[in-house]
Amino acid sequence: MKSRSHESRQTDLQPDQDAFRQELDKLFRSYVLRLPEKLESIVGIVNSLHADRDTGGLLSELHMLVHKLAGSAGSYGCPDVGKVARDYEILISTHLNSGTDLEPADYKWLKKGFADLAVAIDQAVKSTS
Amino acid sequence: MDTDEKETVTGSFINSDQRSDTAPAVSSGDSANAPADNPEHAGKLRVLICEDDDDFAVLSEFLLRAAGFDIEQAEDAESARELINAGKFDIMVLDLGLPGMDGLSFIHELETNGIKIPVIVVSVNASEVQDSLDSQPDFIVDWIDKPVEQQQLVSSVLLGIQPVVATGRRILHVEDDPDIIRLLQTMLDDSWEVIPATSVSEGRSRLMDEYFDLVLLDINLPDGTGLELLPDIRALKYPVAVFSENEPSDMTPDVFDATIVKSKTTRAGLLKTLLDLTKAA
Repeated sequence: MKSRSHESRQTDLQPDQDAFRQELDKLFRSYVLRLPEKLESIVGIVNSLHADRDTGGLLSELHMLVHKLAGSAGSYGCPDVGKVARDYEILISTHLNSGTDLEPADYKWLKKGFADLAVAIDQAVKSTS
Repeated sequence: MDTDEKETVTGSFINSDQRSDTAPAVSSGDSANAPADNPEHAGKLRVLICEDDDDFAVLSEFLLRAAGFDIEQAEDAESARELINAGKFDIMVLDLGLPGMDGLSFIHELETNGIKIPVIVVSVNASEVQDSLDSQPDFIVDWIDKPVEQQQLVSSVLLGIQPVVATGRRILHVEDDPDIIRLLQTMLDDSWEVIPATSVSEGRSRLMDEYFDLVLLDINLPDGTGLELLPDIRALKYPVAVFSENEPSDMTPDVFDATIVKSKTTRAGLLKTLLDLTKAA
């Protein structure tokens, strides 16, 4: 058995913390830089909703995109994006559960939710660049 | 990694020459369905991630692979069902908001079919759903809200698979302090069989008469030092670790496979150390 010193090297549950951290940072950065694409997808649906007054598939699709964002953003180190997305998701979900069509007044919260998301994503991207 | 270095697992050190990789040990139970023909899977615990969000799935896989688990992905309940039917998994990380059959319905289906794979529910509204249930299947081992902290997922998986991997594993705990004996028993669940020995002579006697998967040793004992047991332990080829209150002094001979410092060790860290050591045995 080789002799070893007893000096401590705290690395939590990961065996090689430096390499792990570098890879994790790369993953986080890649995610943040893809956030504007996700926002584009979301704004596309919001605009379509406004044009078509489609309360069926499109609103569900919007809900799915925002739901995923709410689940992943905080885990990727963007808690503000995650929180705004979660609030937006709840609004969309509440409307979907109501079973009613979108009325002109609803576009106000739809656009506000999107605008809040855009600000949060912009800040996340800027803080990463 | 330098072979003279110790690897640290939340306050515990494992000698790198005792481990081929970072994978926790596989249960001694049925693993006939594991892909044993692929050396990459050998000895690793298998986690099924059922998640439709690619971003979260990628992150979960990265974190769990880094902790030494073997990962399979399913993007919906139907795919997960096929994978579970086709191969053995030690635990499943399950999202609730899945396309098609949702996660909760999938859990009910598993329960109805008597499939008791340990499940960790990970969802933006996991706590909310948990609170809304009158009862839940006993194979759900944890509910985690997204966003997920990095260590939270790995710790939850480690604690969740404990009954799977530890059942039948026997630890000889040579320790004369009843508080520390109780502490270890509190940190581990009933899956492990921990047999205390409060003296060198009792430890030696148990080593001669019984089988163990691991020995945890205190140095200072009423009738001598734990070091006196090392020749017996080595002859039996058991992994041996110091389980101490504080950092070992420089005077402690460095002949152990791991040093676990209680004040710095989380339950998950302790468990991972024990799994790694028993795998190396």
